[in-house]
Amino acid sequence: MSRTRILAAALTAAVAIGVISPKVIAYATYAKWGTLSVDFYINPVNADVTQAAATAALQAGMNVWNTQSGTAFRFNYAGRVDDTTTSYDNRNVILFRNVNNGSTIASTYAWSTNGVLVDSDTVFWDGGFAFFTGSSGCGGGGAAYIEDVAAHEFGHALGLQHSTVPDATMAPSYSTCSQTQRTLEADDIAAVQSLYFKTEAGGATQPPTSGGGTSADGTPRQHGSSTARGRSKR
Amino acid sequence: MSVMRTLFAVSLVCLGAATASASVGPEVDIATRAKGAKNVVVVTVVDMQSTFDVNEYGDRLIVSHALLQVDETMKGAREQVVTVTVEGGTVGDLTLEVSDMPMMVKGDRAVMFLDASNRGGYVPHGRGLGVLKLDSGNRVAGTSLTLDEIRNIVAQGAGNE
Repeated sequence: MSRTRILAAALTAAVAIGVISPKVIAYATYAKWGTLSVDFYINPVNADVTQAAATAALQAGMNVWNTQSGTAFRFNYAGRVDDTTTSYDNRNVILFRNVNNGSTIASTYAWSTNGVLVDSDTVFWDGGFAFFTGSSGCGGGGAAYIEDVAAHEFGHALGLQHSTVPDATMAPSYSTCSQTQRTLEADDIAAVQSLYFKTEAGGATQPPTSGGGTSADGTPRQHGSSTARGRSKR
Repeated sequence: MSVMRTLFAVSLVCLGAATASASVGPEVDIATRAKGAKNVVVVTVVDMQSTFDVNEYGDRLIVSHALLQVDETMKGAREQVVTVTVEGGTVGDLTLEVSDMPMMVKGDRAVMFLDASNRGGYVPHGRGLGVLKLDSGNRVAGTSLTLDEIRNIVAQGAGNE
């Protein structure tokens, strides 16, 4: 038997057991923002936790990507709103809806023009799930941590689709009370870095823009007022 | 046994393990979906028309009306074509992607679990869970689940009803 054949067989075995792992791209993307700083508003009214806790948990979901993605992209919490519906209005809103939508915990509605995201809204389906915050106390059927669901939905808001990596934040399924999605996996990081600037160790190659963010065409976002509190889309 | 045969055997075992691992994908409870849906069909998208609409919650969204050629009926009345309305789509240069609704385009094939819409036509049963896009190998995209396996599950469920 030739040495070449032995090496070939050994290589096959090594690949099979993952010792040598061929690069597999499991993530998918569909669009990206034209800016590295995007504002999100929150309507924290929900059936399960205090509004303060919901707001903090949603911000934690933002920070998963702000701090772990290795990019210069930043989500900004822009304030509280009273919106109960979503639409294409150049204002990004997260809200809870006391409706049972089957097995869907949350849905993100992302609007884009020629591959550039221009609006993103997320609805948490509060009627079918019991939401918890933090890292303890979650229990019962249909229970979920807002931080983890939010991390997943903010991935969609970044332009990411579902990943086929089971433990990834962008995996499509969520196990009751799981806290795994608040930690990005390599596949999630590869996905977001394929869309936005990868930061160098110790600093960003391009610092995020400051202030209220810009629309995809570079113009300032129109918020209508300095604080959007009280505005409604109805 | 030669060293080569030993290594070959090891590699086959390892490849089998890798395949089994790769089969762990999104949870797919086909039986539940089939039981809850009015129709289960294999379809090909022949046309897609998108427009703005307001849903039952007051959201103003783009929705798409997909004209589907029914290639196979696993459950429900046999129809040659059906119209299914899904959230998301493109109007002009504006596209709406909905995270739990797969985007469909002309030529796509899928297994669809359908409910009658109160506006006429059908909607996917369980939103995105009612749409299982098929790849060219008749597997559900991103999983190892095959069309034959779905047929078997749906048939067993129909027998239990």
